[in-house]
Amino acid sequence: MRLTGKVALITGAAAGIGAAVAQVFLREGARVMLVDCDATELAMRADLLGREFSPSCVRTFVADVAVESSACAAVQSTVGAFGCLTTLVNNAAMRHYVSLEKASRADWQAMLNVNTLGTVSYCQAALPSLRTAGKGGGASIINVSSCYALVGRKDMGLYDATKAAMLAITRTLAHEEAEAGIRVNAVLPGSTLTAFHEKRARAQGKAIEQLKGERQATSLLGRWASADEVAWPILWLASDEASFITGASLPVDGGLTAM
Amino acid sequence: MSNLFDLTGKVALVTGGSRGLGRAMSLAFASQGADVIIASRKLEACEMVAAEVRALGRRAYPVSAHVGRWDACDTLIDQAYAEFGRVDILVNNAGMSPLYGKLSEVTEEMFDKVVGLNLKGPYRLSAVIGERMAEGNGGSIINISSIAAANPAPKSEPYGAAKAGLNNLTRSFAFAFGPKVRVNSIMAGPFLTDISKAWDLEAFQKRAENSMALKRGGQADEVVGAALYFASSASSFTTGSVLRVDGGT
Repeated sequence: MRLTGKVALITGAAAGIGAAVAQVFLREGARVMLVDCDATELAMRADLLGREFSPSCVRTFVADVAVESSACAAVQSTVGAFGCLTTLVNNAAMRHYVSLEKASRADWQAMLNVNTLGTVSYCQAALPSLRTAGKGGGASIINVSSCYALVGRKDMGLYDATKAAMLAITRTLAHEEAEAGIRVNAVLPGSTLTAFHEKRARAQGKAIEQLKGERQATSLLGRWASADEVAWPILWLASDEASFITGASLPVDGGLTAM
Repeated sequence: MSNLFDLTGKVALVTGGSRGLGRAMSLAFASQGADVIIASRKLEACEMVAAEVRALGRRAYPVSAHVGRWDACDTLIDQAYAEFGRVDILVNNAGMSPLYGKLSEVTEEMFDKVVGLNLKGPYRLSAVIGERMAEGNGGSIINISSIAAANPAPKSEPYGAAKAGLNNLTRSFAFAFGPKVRVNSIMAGPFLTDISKAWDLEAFQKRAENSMALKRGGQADEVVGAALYFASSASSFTTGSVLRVDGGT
């Protein structure tokens, strides 16, 4: 087991990449605090994971990461339940499909509140506990950015800008917390097929098969990633096997950024 | 389409709000924009749910209250209005059904407790809050009843009688406080909440497979759809109604 003794707080954990991270973390012996703003989805996810592993290893905290005070409350709840916090996965994010020409100030603010300030708040709130864990070695933060932090495209500028900011936050925190024993890294997923995209496709009247065929030209591997394929590199970064990795931005994109 | 279930700016009061169905409803209301008063006997448990409501960006007010007593109901009402100045959604969710042997062994104290929490408390809260809603901006009252009200069940006769009374109040209060206040009831079937930890789950599952259309107990969050429907303007033409949310019993 690669995460024995680890306690992870995962934001955006009710579905998609966050839920996959929770599952692989549990499989490798971690205890997890799942944070999400969708209370119903979160409860159902926790129930599933609790049955698959052990209910005592899974806790939930309903929160919108855009609410600044939620970060301290979620961290407190984690430490209260499990006694410590060793690992923070900043995965919660919102998307907004709009061109920069049309994006309003309110659109920007909403995006910044979740994707950028949410990440920052949860890092800040977690640092005291992570530093305590860092003294024993093995504390880390993993930020879920995007390959589009590096590569351009249209109509997702707000999201992509926040994901680029995440890389800078990752590097800065890696500098600032190295001495405290906290490693800080980012993964940059490419197109990852999750319930979010399937739901969006259905709303557009698009068949899942058609959706699956859409990413053939955009990466070397010519397909979507599964959420698990993004969770495995996060598992590695969270484990002590990655003890010499910090400040890194790891593409998990089927080669998209190499094209 | 705009959000039919939007509760932005509303204030909800949920009794028994710290666990099980009450907790699920409190969080669902908050996620739709409502501020929530979470009442239950244990303040610490209320505070844990309040932290989550606040983490959703809503105001929360955890209150310790035993709503089986008239004076305690009045205190709760005073506290709620002092904090928020209004209640738009009242959920009478607190309930209990103690175990007993023979029917003749039900003590008077036990009987009074069951009727107190399941019927008397909801009566008092609905009467006072319903009146204020009717004089003010209107509102929605949701009574969490039980299928025991309709299907006589062994080992819960006083409880079933109290819940049948609650269904009756649902209709009478719908008339008393209409048209501005809507009053509806959810008849809950077996939900696998903390309460079910005392059950023999294997035996329950067997019974469920034989007697329930969905062949299983409910998860606490499966009450959310019905609760949001009754709480919001999605149900603007529904009142005095009793809805089974019971997996088909």
